[in-house]
This record gives sequence, C-alpha cells and structure tokens, in this order.
Amino acid sequence: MDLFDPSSGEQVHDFNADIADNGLFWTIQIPDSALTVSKNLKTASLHLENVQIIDSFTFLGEHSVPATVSFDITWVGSGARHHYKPGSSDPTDPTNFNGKFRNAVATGSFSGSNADGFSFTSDPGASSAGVFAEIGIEKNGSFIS
Amino acid sequence: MPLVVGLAVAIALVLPGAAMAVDATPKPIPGGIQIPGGPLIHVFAPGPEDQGFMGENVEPNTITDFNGFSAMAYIVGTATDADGNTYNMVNDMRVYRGTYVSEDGSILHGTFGFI
Repeated sequence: MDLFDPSSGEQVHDFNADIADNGLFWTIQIPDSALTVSKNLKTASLHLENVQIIDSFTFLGEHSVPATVSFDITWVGSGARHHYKPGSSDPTDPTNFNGKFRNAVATGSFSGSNADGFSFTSDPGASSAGVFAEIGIEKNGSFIS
Repeated sequence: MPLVVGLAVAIALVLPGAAMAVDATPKPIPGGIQIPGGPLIHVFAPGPEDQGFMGENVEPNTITDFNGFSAMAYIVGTATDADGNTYNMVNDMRVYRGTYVSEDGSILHGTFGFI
C-alpha cells in the first residue's frame, strides 16, 4: 500500500509484507477464512484485520518500522476467460505459467498505522477501474512440467 | 550422554514428527524484475503494456510450484491521515489459494496475501 504526497508526487509510505529470507516478495500466509471465492470463480472477497507488516516509507526503502494494516477488497470478474499458456520453457520467463483469468474490477477500503504514530484511512471510491485487475486460476513451476 | 541431549533423543524416538519441523514457506518464482543497481525482486507486473505494465499474459503469482486460485488488482484512490492530510494511494494487492510445494518439498495447501 503506497501513499504519495499529492503536491510533490513523492512516495511517503510503503506498507508491505517485506521480503522473506528466501526471497519471497511481499507475500505472507493468511487465514483461509480471510478469502471467499465464488464457485464460478467470478468474484472474490478478501478481509484482513491488523496484519503485522512493515512501513518502508519508499519502495525497497532501507529504513522500516513495524506497521499494521486492515482492508477489504472485492473482485468482480467479467467477460470471457483468457487462457494463458506458457510462452517459454525458461522458468524465469514472465509467461512461464498456465492460467485462466477474467479481467476484473476490484474495489477496496484500507487502513493502516505504523510504529511512528502515523495512521491513514482510504477515502471512499478506491478501485482498479481504469487500471487492471484479474481473477482466475493458475499453475506454475513443477505443476506445469 | 548429557541429560538434556538424552531427553531430546528420547523425545525424538517417541515422537519422530515433533523433531522434524516442516518448513511450510513457499518458494518464490525464479524470475522477477531486476531493479537497476539493486536486487532482483521475485515479482512481475501484469497488466496492459500501454499503461506501462508487462502485458496481460504475465505471471501474477509470487509463489512457484503453485496450483490454485489467484487474483490481483492495482487499486488507486486517495487516503487521509489522522491529521487530515490527504495522499494519493496506489495499492498492488494480490491473493493466492492453492496447493504448493514448500521449501522442504512438502506439498501443502494455503492462502497467501501479497501486500
């Protein structure tokens, strides 16, 4: 979750799940109950409260402080599913996965705070409309070899 | 044999599973974005190329050896802090649920958030 000063355009907060020792990027395990997915895979909702992460202030910033965030996100997919097949056998290639995704619009509400005493709440209307969102299924790595 | 070591061996013999912790940590995708002058970060940026992303046929997952549900979104808006200051907000949010092969080779099931 990135916050930018609207005057200067400079990033002032970067709430993220940090990079694990093995390189796993900004990804943490969450309770199964946090995510609800419809049977037809067209909608999903994610609800998390008080997730312990960090605020590194800037992208990959070297200084960080403990932080917590809470948020609700809803994805609504529409249109035909796109079937993405591996475009390369190179495991480092960005197309080396097999997926079936619908484009989606996601909306959400967010709040967070850090150990320095800063806190924020998103204003109504936060959405992926006009940018990008997708929802679907995929497999990669040993599941496609 | 010292008492503490002896106890540990005895416990391991009685409860072999207790002495073998499973590393359930997922493995990162092998590829990623090379930050100029910085690290390789194990994530891609799917989305329309005309908006500066890498294309829609691009891996949204950060976990490799994964099979399951995946969703992602770039959510934009504004936010307000406790003092009433406003900010532009850009959130790359992703969620994954499925079967994966963990660092120690175990085949596990889990739900993960990309924050």
